[in-house]
Amino acid sequence: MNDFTVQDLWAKAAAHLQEKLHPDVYSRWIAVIVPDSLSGDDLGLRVDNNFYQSWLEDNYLPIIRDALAAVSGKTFKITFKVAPPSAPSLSMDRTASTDSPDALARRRATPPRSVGRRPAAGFETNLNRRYTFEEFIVGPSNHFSHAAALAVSQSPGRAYNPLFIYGGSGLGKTHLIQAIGHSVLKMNRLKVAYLSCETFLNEYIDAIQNKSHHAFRNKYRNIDLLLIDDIHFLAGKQGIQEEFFHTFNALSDAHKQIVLSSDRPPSDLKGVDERLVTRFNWGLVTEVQPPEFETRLAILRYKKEQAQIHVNDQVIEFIAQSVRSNIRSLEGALTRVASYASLKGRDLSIPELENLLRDILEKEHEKDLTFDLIMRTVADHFDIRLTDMTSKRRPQAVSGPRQVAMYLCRTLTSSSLPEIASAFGKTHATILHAYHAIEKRMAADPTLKQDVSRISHALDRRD
Amino acid sequence: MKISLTKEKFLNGLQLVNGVVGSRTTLPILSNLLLKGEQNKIWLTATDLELSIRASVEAEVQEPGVTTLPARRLLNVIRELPSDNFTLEIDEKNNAAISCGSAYFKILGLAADEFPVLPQLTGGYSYTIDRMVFKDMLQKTAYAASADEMRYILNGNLLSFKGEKLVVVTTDGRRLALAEQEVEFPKEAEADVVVPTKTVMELMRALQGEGPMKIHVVDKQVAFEFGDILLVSKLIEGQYPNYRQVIPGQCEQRVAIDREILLNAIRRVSILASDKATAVKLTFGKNKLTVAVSSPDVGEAHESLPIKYTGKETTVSFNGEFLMDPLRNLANDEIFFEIIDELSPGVMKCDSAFIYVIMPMRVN
Repeated sequence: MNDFTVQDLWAKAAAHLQEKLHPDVYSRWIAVIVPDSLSGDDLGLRVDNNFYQSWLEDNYLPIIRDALAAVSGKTFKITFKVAPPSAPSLSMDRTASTDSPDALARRRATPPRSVGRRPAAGFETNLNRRYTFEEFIVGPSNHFSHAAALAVSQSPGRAYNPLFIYGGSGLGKTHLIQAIGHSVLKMNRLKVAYLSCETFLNEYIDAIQNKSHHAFRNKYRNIDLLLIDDIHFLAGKQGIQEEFFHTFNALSDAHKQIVLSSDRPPSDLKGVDERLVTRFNWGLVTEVQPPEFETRLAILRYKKEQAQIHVNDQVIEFIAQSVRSNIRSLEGALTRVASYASLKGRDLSIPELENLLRDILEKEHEKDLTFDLIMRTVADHFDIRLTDMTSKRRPQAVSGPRQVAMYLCRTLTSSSLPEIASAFGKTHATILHAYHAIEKRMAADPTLKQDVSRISHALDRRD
Repeated sequence: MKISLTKEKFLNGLQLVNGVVGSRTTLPILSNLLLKGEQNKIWLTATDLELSIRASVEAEVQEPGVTTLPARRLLNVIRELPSDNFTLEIDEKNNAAISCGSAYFKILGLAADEFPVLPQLTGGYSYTIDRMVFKDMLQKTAYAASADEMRYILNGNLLSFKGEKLVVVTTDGRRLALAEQEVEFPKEAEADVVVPTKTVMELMRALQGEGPMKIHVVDKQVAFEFGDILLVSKLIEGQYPNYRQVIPGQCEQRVAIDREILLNAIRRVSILASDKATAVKLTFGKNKLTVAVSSPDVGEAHESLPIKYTGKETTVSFNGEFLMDPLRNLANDEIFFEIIDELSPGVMKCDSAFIYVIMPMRVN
């Protein structure tokens, strides 16, 4: 679908920018950009350091986007990367044709081959037969991770080592990791081990109890592909971290592939040794994001076909529209609707659907910020009691944070002033006053601004 | 310890160190001040572990000694004392008795040996600079530092000692402020350090009076010493970005504008800005600069000021707050505004070595 290469595209856009921008600005900020990758609507640009990246993102992104649109007629999603150049083996084209949900749904499986245990490997792999690349639906939210996983499965130990996939629960991390295992097993006779972090931990504990360290070590240091799920469980467990560290080194020294999944990026792994975190960052770290509407639709249609469920498009669309956070609940919702529909012998109306799926929908709603959560986070941050948030006490140490909490409730939620007021046991004028007061103080007091930004980040990061 | 003090002097000293006392402390001792009476002075020390400050207050010390007392409470008590002279007496259980006329307070303290020891800086390099000059450099730049935690290295002032000059730089990715001053130091003392914003704020408050000050850089720490006051702070670690690349080269148009007139005009029209991010549009026409704000849901305002300008008419929009920040913090009567076109950064300069680069906002 791309009739030009990334170099062509960028050359045209750069020429356009050169006309528009002052030569000084052009040579300082635009000429230093190196085109890097192009995939569908995603354009990767490379710059020398992260200051270029942040300055360009803050100041020139819209201009660059406009220039690209002017020369190509398309709006690109631009991401800046800081050098070094990416490994060439990442086959992005494979995922480039992800435009319509139908196309996604059509790219469906040859039925999953039974990839069981390989006697040759002599290793229990525990792979779920359903989790193959063929079964994986690719959309913009996960195509980068998918491409990386494919690259790894094609040349284990060489493409990206380790590959670190992170994302929320139910977004397909386990699926991708296991798909690598399947694909590698299918192609060559490598020893593959897939296990969850917890299994690894339990085996380690067994090894300690039975004094069979040696066997444990040999087992994991002599495999070709190690897939570990939910690596964040390592947090705070010193002994196993030590063991894993040595396993990791042994494998990576021998150029064996390691693939890890986690619910957060390596840098956010609290209670994990710095030396492990830096090692996780060695290879490629990629994120799986929640699927967007089209991908959700494609997943549902694919599932529908697979399971021979008969529901109409309106129902499918309703589910795709209302269940957003993860694929697991998406599938759950479809199954429930299908079984209900088959009982009733007809399709369901939207009000019926809403009623049937209300618990899932409510959960989706809970994802939104609650006042309670904001108060709790603010109280934690300032080291005051949660009860002080709603108390009538007014010493400065309490009233300041309380105003911050009111400010955050007002800015981060869409609730009305009276709603917030009743949560704090105050009048709406108090809330409004707090909002303005904090806004004003933030302008003058960088410490407060930092506090507020730190709390907002904490609220963003919550699970 | 037994000391006689005057309220005013002691209050000044307390206010000086109080800003450092941590607002949220996991270690209770950190919300206390260390008080040490010896000879004719009482030394006050506060720390939040990142930043420590020590100052002295003249006093009549009858019995020397050392203790720690809760900072906020002490300040509140001293502020409310009914008359100007009072005595402070500490018993061996670290309880402080404050008597002032007929008023009496007993404040429970903590033992001084729990208080963190002020870091001793040895080795490294030190630089000497006039304290008012340094304060002025900080004032001209501090407001442009980033408060975004994600870009930690920008959350402070860069002090770059290079080539017989001290350059102070701040940036938040949309603007950059830079002040420069000649300072003498040996070649081998060249260094770049980033001082956290909190330290800069406290330093600006504490810097007063005439005379030189000493800046002492060791490894990951910096000490500022002037008179009896000593501030020791951790530095922000990491490589500060190459700020030089942000400063545009030769400019097309340089316009001299009266600082206060411009500031007042922007402040007036900004009343009709719907929020902090509303753009202020500057139109440079023949001998006239028009400052305008228009927000669809509030209204619009514009004001013209006389300038000497004969170039082509150019309109460029900036964040109003970003425009006003340097204007508020400079003292010069006249500033120079350099513009190129609506997509290029604007530059503010003044007679002293100061540069402010501000990125335009795009308004459709």
